[in-house]
Amino acid sequence: MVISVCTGALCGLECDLVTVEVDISNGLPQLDMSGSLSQEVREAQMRVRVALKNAGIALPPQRITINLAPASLHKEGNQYDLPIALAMLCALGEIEQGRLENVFIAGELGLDGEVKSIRGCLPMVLKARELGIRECILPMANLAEGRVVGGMELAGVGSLVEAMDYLGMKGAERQEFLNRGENVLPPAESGPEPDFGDICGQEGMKRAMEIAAAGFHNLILIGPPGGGKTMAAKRLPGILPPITEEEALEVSKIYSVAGLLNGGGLIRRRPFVAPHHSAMLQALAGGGRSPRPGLISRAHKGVLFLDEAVHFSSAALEVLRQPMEDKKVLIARSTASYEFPAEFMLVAALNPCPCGNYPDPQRCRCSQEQVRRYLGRLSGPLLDRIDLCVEMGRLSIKEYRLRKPGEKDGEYGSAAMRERVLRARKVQEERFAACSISFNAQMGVNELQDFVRLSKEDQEYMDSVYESLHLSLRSYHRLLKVARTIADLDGRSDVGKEDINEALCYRSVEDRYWG
Amino acid sequence: MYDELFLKRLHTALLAEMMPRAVRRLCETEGGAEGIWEMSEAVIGACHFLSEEEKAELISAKKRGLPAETAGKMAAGGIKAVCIEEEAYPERLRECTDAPYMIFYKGRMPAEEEKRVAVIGARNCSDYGRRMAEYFGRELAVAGVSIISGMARGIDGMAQEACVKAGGRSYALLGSGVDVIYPRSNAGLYEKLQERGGVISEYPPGREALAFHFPLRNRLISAFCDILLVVEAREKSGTFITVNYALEQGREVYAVPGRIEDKLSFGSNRLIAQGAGVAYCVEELLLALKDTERQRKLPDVTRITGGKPAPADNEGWEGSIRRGVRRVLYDSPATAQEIYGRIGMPKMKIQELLAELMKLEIEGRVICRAGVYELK
Repeated sequence: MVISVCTGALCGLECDLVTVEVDISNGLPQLDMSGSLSQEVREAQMRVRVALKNAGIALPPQRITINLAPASLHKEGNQYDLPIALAMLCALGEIEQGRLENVFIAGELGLDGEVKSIRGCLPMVLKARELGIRECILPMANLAEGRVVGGMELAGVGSLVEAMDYLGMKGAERQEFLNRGENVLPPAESGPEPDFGDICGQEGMKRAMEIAAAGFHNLILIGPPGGGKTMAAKRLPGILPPITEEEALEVSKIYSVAGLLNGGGLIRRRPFVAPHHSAMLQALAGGGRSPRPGLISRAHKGVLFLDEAVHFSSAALEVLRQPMEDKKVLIARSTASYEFPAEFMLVAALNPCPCGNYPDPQRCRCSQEQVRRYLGRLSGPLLDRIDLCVEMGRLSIKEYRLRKPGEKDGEYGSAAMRERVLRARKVQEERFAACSISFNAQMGVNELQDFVRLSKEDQEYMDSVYESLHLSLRSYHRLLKVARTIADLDGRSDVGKEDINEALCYRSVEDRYWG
Repeated sequence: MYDELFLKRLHTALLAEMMPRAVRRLCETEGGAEGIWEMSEAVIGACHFLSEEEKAELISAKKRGLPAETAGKMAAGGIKAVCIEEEAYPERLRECTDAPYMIFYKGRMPAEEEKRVAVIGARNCSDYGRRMAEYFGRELAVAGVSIISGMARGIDGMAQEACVKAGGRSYALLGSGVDVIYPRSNAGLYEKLQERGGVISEYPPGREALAFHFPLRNRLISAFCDILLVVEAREKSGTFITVNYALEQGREVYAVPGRIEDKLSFGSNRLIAQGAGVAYCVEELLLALKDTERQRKLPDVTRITGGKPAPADNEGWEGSIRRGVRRVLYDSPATAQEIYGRIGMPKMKIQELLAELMKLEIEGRVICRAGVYELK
């Protein structure tokens, strides 16, 4: 007779249902597998056979056929071992007939019968719920991840024997097994966040960071080496508005598929991803034969920090363009195309010139041409998407000595900054309640018209600024968005002249370095 | 269609580019371009002071014929030339031992009686250097003195720009053909110089700006001027090549003094220590040029500071932030963050300062270059 069991195949961030069918019938002793399988899936038969033997179950000298349906779908990954093993056990009569109906199973087996963690558990459980399946058997290591999805009966198993035991349980005993580990706290998040108070001076940079965090604006930091650009960027996650449930689920899905949840459940802080400048295009965008999310997808709803941005290969920088435009990465393969969300806030840090000391003529010996070429490695379309640009000067030792103790509680400590960001965030939430966007930086031309109303006088001022500073229409719009966030931060309902003036100070590099 | 004599001279000039010494000698022995053109192969072969390569070049150049094509290009591009055999050849240049056989120019050549000062200095100049270049360029122009320079980025171009703007005459000596604009960023100045003076070069039209051209070009800058003024120079600077030529050619050298902690002024201060004139005001230079009209006047300090607002002039500088900004920027240009640190107003928020700076920038009271603010 044929036993079938539900499991899933990952396809990008989504999961497709796969049915494992096992048939044991008389014939020459043989084990066959079919269903468009990749190498690692084909190897499952060997792992399953040994794991069963080590669990004390000998395979009968019969013909065993295993099929993974649908055959049209190419199957990859390690999650098929456990469903195959359990389906065989059921066919052998070790598990009660019909017990495996409407149970979703996924897990890798070791030769000793250990059930090992798999990638993409979260989308699989979501798929199971969507299909109306309530019971899942998952590797113990992925249990926390699966529990993100509510209203499910999830059994985390550590070994094949444990899985068999569970399937035999009934009533209170079974309930107790399902509740296992429920009260275990997720692994502690690494220490306290570094604080902006650690950086002395640099109020201009801190203010820009605050604006960026509040409105989700892309930001460029330009300054001499050792000026604290990296230090500042590392402190940015600490002042970002908290992640919403919906966003957290999306981000967790990406990390689940990337195999990066490491036993934890829902991701509760915004990601901060800082690729090294030698990062390859595929590492950034995502890829592989069955594509996994790349670094820029891992920065979804969080910060993508490019330190020494001009040293990234131009191909790697160009790959950022599409995600910055469409908020997602599309990877096409001959079999299918995959879509990974990538809505991130770009923070780029760079030196102003090859020696890093421009425009200080005492220390910089680079020619104008060198400076131009150095900054020119960032392409125009990329710069077009950057709303804020701050230069960070060298701190004099006097300023450093003047540093007040207890700056962490000061105006530019992380706590105070976070509070202001939260306030601005709340204003934006109310403003965009009826729209599909949630941050000022995402406003299009229509939204700008609705939400950035200038008085007649300010409009005239804006027009004169547009002319006298030779702004482009795009930088004009950028300016309005930043001014909106500044007004939100300072609790003003309308954008005024002072907001515009401040926003102008952060106008982007190409207006100032190449203007 | 072209004057044959001119073509022969151009032919000699093209030879002189490759072998200046041999051509100078041939000019003496053969009596000029015509003589050189008429040398037969046998005569060339018998010429004892020519190397084998030079002989081969002379013969092959003769086989190529007269350079009508180059002459055509010159006519089309409005490029003129003057040859050492002509009366019109600049006297100051003729005195040099290695005077070029022919010089090419667009616009015009300076008249013999024109007083000229060459203003040279660092390409990556400081703000002080920029202001000084502008000051001397402008004030010399007003006094009717022409500015000679190399149209380079930094001090050179700045001084010429200021001179032309003040209605003066200025001449640029290039390290490329006169139809090649280098650096490109000075294209605007290049056009203006043709109207208000000239661009001059010893290189035939079309020659690119090659690195080894520039030290040689520097000898022409010093040759063309009466006084050489060094505005800013580092300890090691190409400027000193020009200074050495100037001393060889008997030109007076002046230097603008700078702060001794300023690396960019080290070279110019050292020149002063070695006996160069101290260019502490334009009158000093005019005195040296024997300009009797202005030498009696006392130096006018406000002209040196370029009309920067004197502390008493408060119009548009009302309010404590504005006054603070002016106080900080009066000493030296600074970034917004530096102003914030130096202004001494701990209660002020950075955004208030940024907004105020922007207003000042729009009002045209300060300018911002790559994040560094300075008073206009």
